[in-house]
Amino acid sequence: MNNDIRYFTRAERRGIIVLIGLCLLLFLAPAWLPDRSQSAPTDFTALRQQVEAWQAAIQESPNDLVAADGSMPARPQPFDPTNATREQLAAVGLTPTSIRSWLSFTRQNGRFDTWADVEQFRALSPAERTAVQPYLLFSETNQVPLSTPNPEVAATLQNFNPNEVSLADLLAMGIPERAARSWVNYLASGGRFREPAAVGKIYNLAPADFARLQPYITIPAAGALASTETAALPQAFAAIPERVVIDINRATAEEWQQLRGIGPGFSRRIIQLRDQLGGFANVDQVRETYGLPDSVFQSIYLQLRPSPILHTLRINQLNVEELSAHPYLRFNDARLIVRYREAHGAFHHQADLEKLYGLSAEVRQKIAPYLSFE
Amino acid sequence: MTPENAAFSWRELPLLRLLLFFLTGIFLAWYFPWRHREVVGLILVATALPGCLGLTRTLSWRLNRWLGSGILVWMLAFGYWRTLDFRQLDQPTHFSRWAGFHTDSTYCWQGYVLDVHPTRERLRLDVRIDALAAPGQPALARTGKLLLYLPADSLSSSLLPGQQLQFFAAARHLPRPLNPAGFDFATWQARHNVFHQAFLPATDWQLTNPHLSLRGQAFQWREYLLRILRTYLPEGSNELAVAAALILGKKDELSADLRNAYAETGAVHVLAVSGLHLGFIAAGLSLLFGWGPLKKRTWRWPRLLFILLGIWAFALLTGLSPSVLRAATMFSFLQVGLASGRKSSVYNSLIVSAFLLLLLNPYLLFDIGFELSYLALLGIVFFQPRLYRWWYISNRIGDRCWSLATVALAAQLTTFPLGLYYFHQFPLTFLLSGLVVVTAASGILFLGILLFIVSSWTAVATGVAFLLELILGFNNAFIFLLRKLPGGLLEGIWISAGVLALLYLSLLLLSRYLQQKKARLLLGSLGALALALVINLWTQAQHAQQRQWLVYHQYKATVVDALDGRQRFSISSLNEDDPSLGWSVQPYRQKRGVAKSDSMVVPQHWFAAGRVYGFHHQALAVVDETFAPAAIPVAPMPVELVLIRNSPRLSLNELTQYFQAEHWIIDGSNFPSRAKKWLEEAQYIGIRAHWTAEDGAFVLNF
Repeated sequence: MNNDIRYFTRAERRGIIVLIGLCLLLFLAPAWLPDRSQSAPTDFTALRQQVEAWQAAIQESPNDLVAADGSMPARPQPFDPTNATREQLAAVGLTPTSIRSWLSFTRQNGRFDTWADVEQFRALSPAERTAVQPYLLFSETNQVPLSTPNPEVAATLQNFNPNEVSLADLLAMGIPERAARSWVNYLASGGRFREPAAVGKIYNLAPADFARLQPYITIPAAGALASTETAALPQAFAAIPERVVIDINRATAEEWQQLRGIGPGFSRRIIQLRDQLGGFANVDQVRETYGLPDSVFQSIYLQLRPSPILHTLRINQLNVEELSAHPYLRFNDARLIVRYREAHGAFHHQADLEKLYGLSAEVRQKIAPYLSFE
Repeated sequence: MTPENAAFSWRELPLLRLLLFFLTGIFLAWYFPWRHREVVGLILVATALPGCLGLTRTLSWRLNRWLGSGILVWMLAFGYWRTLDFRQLDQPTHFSRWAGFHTDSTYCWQGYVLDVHPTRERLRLDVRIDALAAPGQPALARTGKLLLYLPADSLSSSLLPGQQLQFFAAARHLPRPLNPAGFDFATWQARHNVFHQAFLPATDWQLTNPHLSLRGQAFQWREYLLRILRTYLPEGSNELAVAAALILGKKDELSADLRNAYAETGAVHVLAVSGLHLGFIAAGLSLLFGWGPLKKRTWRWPRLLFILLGIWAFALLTGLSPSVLRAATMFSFLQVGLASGRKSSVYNSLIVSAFLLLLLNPYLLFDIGFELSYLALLGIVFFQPRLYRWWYISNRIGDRCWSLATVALAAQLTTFPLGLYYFHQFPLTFLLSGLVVVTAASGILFLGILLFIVSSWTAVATGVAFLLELILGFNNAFIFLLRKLPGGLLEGIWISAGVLALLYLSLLLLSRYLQQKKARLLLGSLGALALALVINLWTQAQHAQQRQWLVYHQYKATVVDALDGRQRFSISSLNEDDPSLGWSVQPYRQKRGVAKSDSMVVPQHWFAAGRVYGFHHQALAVVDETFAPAAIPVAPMPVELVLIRNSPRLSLNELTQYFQAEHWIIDGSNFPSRAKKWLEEAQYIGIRAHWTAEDGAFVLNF
């Protein structure tokens, strides 16, 4: 009887109760531990003042490059390079590092008197140099020079339409063969210049040559700008481009290439993605193009306009291969959809898809805009 | 007195004492290794000879006890020596001991494949090296193991264990975890005697001898059976994945989501071929060979033979992986013990199998699978009968259910401390999931084997496959449903080794109490539990008083934590729920009790102003690529830490004009080339720079 497992003496009972009580207490105790995060708040006024004084001393305005509300950055304007301000340089599209270098150069009494000074300024990449050139204002005597023209060639320069030149014409104008070939190839593949400044983007065309030709570039549609008024105005005003806005689902490759940062390669990939998806349902989907840097997307994003998608995903009619051809559906998902459809009949609305185990919510959300239940 | 309640007797479990001292020897060798293991070996040999003399004579009581102590200490020393000897890195023939070996130098290697682990983009091979040669030099015979990473193409995917390779590679040491509480891959592989890894492009290797080892053959047979499964079960579905894992031990098809679902509901043990599956096989075989005339006692040993053949055939067909081998050994001994009919034989067979396995591979003691299977089985053997007897159910089905439930309870009782220690979670739904999943697993296993047998008769096979798919589908649906139940999983629990030991002491005392009925033991058990809770309380108290800066290492991202008691303030370039944080950052946050940061609480000690963050009396400044000051301040801003991220185009010299800091931290979002230049500059200027990619995460307690 005394050896029955359920028999405890009083002392033993007391011991057991004490220990069980202690265990419970210890289990619940952590909730009442003093938390350091609730101790007296620190006074940050000294730090705040110090930070403000320091930020004023370094004159860095943190949000000058991208407006917090996402509004469009300022339009680029012509400016004097020696006395450029940060906003003017940012508007032209220089990187923060280049801006910093430019400003520190001018701050230390460096001058940009001629185009040669800008060309020799090593902090700028060639692309930046080309981008900034149309907006530089030099004093009258230091115009963007008609640099070292070929004497025979100088006399033969006249107004011409850059969309209708031949290789021989270009060579006669003194353009090196490589640049001339790039120009002609561009025209042959269907490219067209809409404004004079676009000619500067031809591969292998030296800025000096472009500057030399620029006064003679005449494009019929924008003819009003290029004619007699240019003689009175500084050269730069002739070449301010318009901001292009394109429809993401209807734009062709050339229209995509008009955007800054998109060339033939990216435009091909964007269109390929668009065809695979059946159209962009959302401007943000352009970001998913393979290899497209986010910085480029950020700079073109305001020029993209959404539109209705081109093809829907007929989820009740396509087979597994056709479904898995869509970029958002894996083979497993497609298989799951088809098997469920064969077993339980067609889908009628979005909620029917929730019955599929293994189809994650993310995939459902992504294909939602494309589904058609006919 | 029933046999289970008899007083504990060392004599009934003869190998237990020896095993315990052997285990202690292994422990000591892992934590306190000594270089001169030859000395230990000599002592062992020297003392064994006189000891053997004493074994056969009759000795006085006193001398007997001296001899006994000597035997036990000898066993400890033997365990110590065996573990030291097992470490391949200390063998003179290991390739890293060769004078001409340098990490990051390319050599020509020859070895054969031990195991193949395919992942999506790459293939990982465990390779045992035979020989290596420096370019232009003759080959040297050397031993050792290596991890090889190959791109997964059609050639490499057809590699099987036993095949011999030659390749050009540079071997490096395995990377240590850079973040605190990150998964320690290097130590885990060290337990398999692997200390180096190499990455190969597709062209730098070739197959020299395609002859397969036994394991390679087993892989091929398994592929053949897998093809049968693939013919009858839908391709790419969850059903096929679970069937492949359960029946054949092939876990590659399991998606992470599926695996997590099973883990969170406490049912993951069915997805690995283990003692459970072998138990089903053994039960099935003994049923098969145990009816009618075969029930007689004379058929006992032939039946045992059939069962053993069946178990090892199943082990062969599931690929002979180390865990299956271990389980098969354990189970074979168990069956022998059961067949001999004695009650204590179950414990004896467990002890003998453990001893044998540890003799062959002492590192198994630290293998999670080994620990869990033995503890689970011990728990089942000891606790299940007692639990079962508490409640008598007359209904047959109810009785079966209760018996299964007690098995799940008993196994969980002995393994939950390890589950908390290794996986930091406890599935409350284990009982429910255990019942359903284990029953379903038996059905799946039998139907699967039936399918393999009748695979050539399409009509019958299709019927079997249909049933199989039904059960699998139901199983998966149940698991997914269970997972959605709120509060089914307790996670983020961290316990220290001390708490683990105390929990097991408490369990041990409890089991002794149930055997011997002395109330003192129950008090001792509760006392140990109380002590474990005290330690836990102390850890929690430390967490509540912590004050720490932490800059993690994250590839191409920045994560900074400021831990203030139970609060956490983070500066992060990734979202809170980004999956890449799960392995590197979340474990430490859970360990310190700050996994969730409460954004509703007003911060008392945190202040954010643009680039500068204030935390208590310290400040952190962040410099990234947008830092473009226009002027140099008169005096640099005094802060405690400066974090440089995203490779700004500034030199440290320039930065010291703007900041004056105690610590300069370069984190994982910077280009390595630039980080190295900054470190050189820092040494030249004389400031303290810390690069997380080399020095690990930056931790500052104050």
